[in-house]
Amino acid sequence: MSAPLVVWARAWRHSLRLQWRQAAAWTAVFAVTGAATAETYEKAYPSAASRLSLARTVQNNYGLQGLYGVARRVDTVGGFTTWRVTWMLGLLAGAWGLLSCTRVLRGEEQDGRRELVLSGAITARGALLADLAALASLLLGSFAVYGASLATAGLPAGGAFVAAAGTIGVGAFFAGAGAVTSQLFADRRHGMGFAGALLGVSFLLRVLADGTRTLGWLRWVTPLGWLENMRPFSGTNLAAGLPLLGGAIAFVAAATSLVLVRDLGGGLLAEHDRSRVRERLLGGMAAFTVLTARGAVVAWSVGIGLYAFVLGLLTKDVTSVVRQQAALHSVLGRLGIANLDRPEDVLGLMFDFAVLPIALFAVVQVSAAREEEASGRLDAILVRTVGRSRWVLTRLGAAAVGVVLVAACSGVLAWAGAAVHDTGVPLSSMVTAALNCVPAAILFLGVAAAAFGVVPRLTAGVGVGVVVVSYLLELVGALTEAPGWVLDLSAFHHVAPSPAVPVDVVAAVVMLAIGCVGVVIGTATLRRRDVVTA
Amino acid sequence: MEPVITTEKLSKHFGHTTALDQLTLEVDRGEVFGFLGPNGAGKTTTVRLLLGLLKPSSGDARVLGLDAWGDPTRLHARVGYVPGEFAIWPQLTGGEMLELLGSLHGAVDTGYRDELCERFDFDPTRRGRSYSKGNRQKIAVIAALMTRAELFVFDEPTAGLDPLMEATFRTCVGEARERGQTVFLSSHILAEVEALCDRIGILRRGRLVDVGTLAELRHLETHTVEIRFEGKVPDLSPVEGVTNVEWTGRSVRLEVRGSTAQLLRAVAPFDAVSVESREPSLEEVFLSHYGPDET
Repeated sequence: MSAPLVVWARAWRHSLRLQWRQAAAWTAVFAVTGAATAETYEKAYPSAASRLSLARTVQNNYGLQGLYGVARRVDTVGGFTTWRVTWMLGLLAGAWGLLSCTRVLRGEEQDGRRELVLSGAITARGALLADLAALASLLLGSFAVYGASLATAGLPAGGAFVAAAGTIGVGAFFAGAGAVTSQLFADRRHGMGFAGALLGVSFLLRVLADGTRTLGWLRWVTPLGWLENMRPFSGTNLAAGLPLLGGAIAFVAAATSLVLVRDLGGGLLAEHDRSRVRERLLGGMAAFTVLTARGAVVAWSVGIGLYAFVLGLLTKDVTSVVRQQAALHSVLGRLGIANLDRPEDVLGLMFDFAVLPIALFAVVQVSAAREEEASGRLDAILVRTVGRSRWVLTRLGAAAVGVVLVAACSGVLAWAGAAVHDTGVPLSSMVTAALNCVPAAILFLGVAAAAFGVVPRLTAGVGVGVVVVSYLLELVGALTEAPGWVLDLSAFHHVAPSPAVPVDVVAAVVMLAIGCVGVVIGTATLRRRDVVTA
Repeated sequence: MEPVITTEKLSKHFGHTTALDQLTLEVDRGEVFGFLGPNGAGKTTTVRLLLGLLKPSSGDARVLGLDAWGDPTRLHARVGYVPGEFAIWPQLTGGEMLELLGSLHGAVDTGYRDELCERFDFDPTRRGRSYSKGNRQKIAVIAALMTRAELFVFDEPTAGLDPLMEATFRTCVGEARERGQTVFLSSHILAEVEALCDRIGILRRGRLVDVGTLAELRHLETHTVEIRFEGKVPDLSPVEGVTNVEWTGRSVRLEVRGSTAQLLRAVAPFDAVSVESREPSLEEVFLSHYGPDET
C-alpha cells in the first residue's frame, strides 16, 4: 500500500490534469489583454499633454469610472492599464475560480467519479484539499505569467506583480466561495449559480462605488473593490488585498469542515426528494423546452437587468461632467468613445457593455443543449418521435427568444434607472437600444451552434472563447492602430452605440444572417453525425 | 412477410477501431431475438445503429421496413427502447419523466402505464436524482412498454433490477410476445436470454459468430460426458472429436464435439459402469465462442 502522502500527491496531479486547460486559456487572456493595453498606451497618448487631459477627463467623471472602474494616475502607463483592464480581468478571474472549483468539487461528485477516488486510500477532506491545492498551484502559475507579461510590456515590475496578485486573488476568493457552495448544494449548477450571484453582487457594488460621488466607501466591502484599493501603480497598498487572501483561506477552512459533516453525493442544504407530479409543460418538445430554459432566462434577466439599472442611474453624472469639457472629445475618441454630451451617448456606451453578458447567455444555452447530448438524455428524446432538426431548432429558437427577452428586460431596467434622474430618454429608444444587442448575440449563438454540430465536445469552449476573444479584441483593439479588418472580425465592433446613433440596420442584418448560417450548419451537421455521449 | 429487422453488411468504425464488422442479420415479426456478447463486443453499437443514433460506416439497417438512419422519426413512433443506463432529468419526478417521454412519443396507454408502475412497484413522486440505479432503469422500462410499440429494442434492460423486478420484466416480455410484438434483446445475462428468446445471435469482437435457435446452436456444440470405469481404463485422447480429457482416479470427464459414436466405440471394450452425457447449457455454448482467439 502506498503512503498517504503519495496517494494525496496522485490525487493532486489528477486534479491538475482536469483543470490545467482552463487555467492555460484564462492565463493567456490575462497576459495578452494586460500586455496589449500597456503596449498601446504610448501610441494612443504620445504627449504628456494628451495624457494629462485624459486623466483630468476620466478621473473627474464618476459615470465613466462606473463603467470602467476607478481611475488613478491615468497619465501613467501603469495607472492607465490598471484602469482599463482591472475590472474586466478581476471579473474573469472570479469566474474562472468559481467555475473550475465547482466543476472539480461538485461536478465530479455528481457524475459519480468522486466515489471511485474516495474508495482509494484518501479521505473526503484529503481529496478536497488536493483539488484546492491543484487549483492554487494553477492560480500561482497564472499570477507569475500575468505579472511577467505586464512587466515585459514596460510596466514597473513591482506594480506589475501587485496588479497580478490582486487579479488572481479575486480568482482565489471566488474559488473559495465555489468550494463552500459545492458543499451546500447537491447540484453543481446551483453551487455555480450561487457563487456566480455573489460575483455579480460584488461587481454591482464595484459599479456603485466607482460610479458615484458618495458611495466610494463601498469599495471596502466588495472583492473587486479590494482589488482596486491595492492601487498597483499609484501608491501601492498591499494590505488592501489581504481580505482577498483571508477570505479565500476562510472559505477553504469552512469547506474542509463542511465536507466532513455531509454525505457523499448530498448537499448540506437538503432539497426535497419528493414532489407531486405536475403535468404542466411536459406535453411536447416546445413546452418542455420552455420548462428547461425559463429558469436561466429569469436568472440572466435579473442579473443583466440589475447591471443595466445601475448604469442607467449613473447616466446623469457622466454627461454633466463631459458637457463642460467639449475639448476632450479627441482624448476619449481614442478609447472608442465618440461623444458623451447627451444622455443618449452615455447610454449607447453602456449598452456596448450589455452585449457581452447577453452574448454569453446565448452561448451558454447552446452548451446546455450539448450537455443534454453528453449526459445521454438526448437519446431518450430522439428515440421517440422528435427528430434531430426539430430538437435542435426548438432549443436554439428558445435560446433566441431568451436573448430577446433578456435584452428587452435590460432595456426597460436601464430606462428605469435613467428615469430616476429624469434624463428624459424615452422608453422606446431604450428598448430599441437594448434590442440592438440581439443581432450580435444571435451571431455568437450561431457560431456556438455550428461548433455543436461540427465539434460537439468543444461547444462550450468554442462558444465562450469566441465571445471573450471578440470582446477583448474590441476593448484593446480600439486603442491600437490595428488594421480595420482586424477590428472588423469582432462582432462587438459592429454594434452601433444606440440610442446615441441610429441602429445600423445593415450590420444588424448581416450579423443575424451569419447567426442563421451558423444554425443551419449546426443543424445540418447534427443530422449527419453520431449522437456523441460524454 | 418482411422481417422486422434486416441488416446488410452493417459496419461501424470509430477512428481505427472497428466496433461492428459487416453484421448481416434478420429478425422476424413476433419473435424474441437474443443478442449475446461479452462487454465491448459491439452490442450497444448495433442497438444505436438500429435506432439511427449512429451513422453506419457502411452497409445499412432496415427496421420495420424503414431505413434506420434515413427515416428515424417515423421508425421511432413504432419502437420502444430501453438503454442499458437511463440518464435521468435530475429535477423532474419519475412521474413527470414518464409524462414527458409519453408525450414525446405520441400515443400512450395511460391505463397500462399505471398498471406497469404498480407491477414494477415504482414510486413516481420522487425526484430523478434520488432514484437508485434500479429505479432509474424502471423508468426506462415502463416508458418503453407503455407505448405498446410494434418492436422493442432492449439493451441490457435489467441492469440494476432486483430478482423480483427481473421476473416481472420477463413476464412483460412474455406478454409482449403473446400480443405479437417483436423483441430485440441485447444482453449478457444468459439465463434471461435462455428463458426468453426464440433465436439467439452471438457477437464477438464486432462479428456475428453464430445465430440460430438454442437447439440449433447446441447442434454442433460439445457434449460433456462423464464415464466411470472398473478395472482397466482406455486411452481416450486420440479419439476423434474428444477434447479436454480429465481423469480423477478411474473416472473421466471429457468433451465431445459433434457425434458421440466414435467415443462409444472406444469405450465399449472396457467396463464402463456409468456414462452420463448432457447437452451444453447456453453458458457453455457462449463460452465456446468466447474462448481464446481462434485466429
